[in-house]
Amino acid sequence: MTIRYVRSKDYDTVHMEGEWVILDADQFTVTKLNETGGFYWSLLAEPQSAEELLEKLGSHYSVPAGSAREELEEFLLHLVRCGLVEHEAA
Amino acid sequence: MKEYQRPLVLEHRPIRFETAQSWNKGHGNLNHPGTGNGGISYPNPPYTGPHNGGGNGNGNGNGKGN
Repeated sequence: MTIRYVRSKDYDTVHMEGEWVILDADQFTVTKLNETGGFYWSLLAEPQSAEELLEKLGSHYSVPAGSAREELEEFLLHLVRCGLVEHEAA
Repeated sequence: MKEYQRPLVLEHRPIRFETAQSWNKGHGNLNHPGTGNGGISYPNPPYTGPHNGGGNGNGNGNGKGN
């Protein structure tokens, strides 16, 4: 079973000066992501598995071997806790 | 190729909306019946000075008062 992640709904997002700002007008929250977080966020408009996200990351960023997978999963978990992303089993 | 940095949620916080009770400083009601902004009453003393229009305006309103 592959877990895929996707935004829980359509959010207003602003990208400025290396930061991404997400406005949740229903929950009245604002969330800021750093540049790499924003890159992942832009991909999460469509369902993505961790493997797919890492593959796309590698084509845009110079990623050192090692901890990227663990850091991605921690980041996704944080987004899920914020209510911005949900996962679906495919 | 961009340089990779660990993906981070830098900040996640609620939005605080300002209402007439907060921006119309000095004209607010100390104990308004609304529930906006968490139901917080206006923290400052109400305005007691003269109002614009010399009294021929739309005064004698229909407010619920205190």
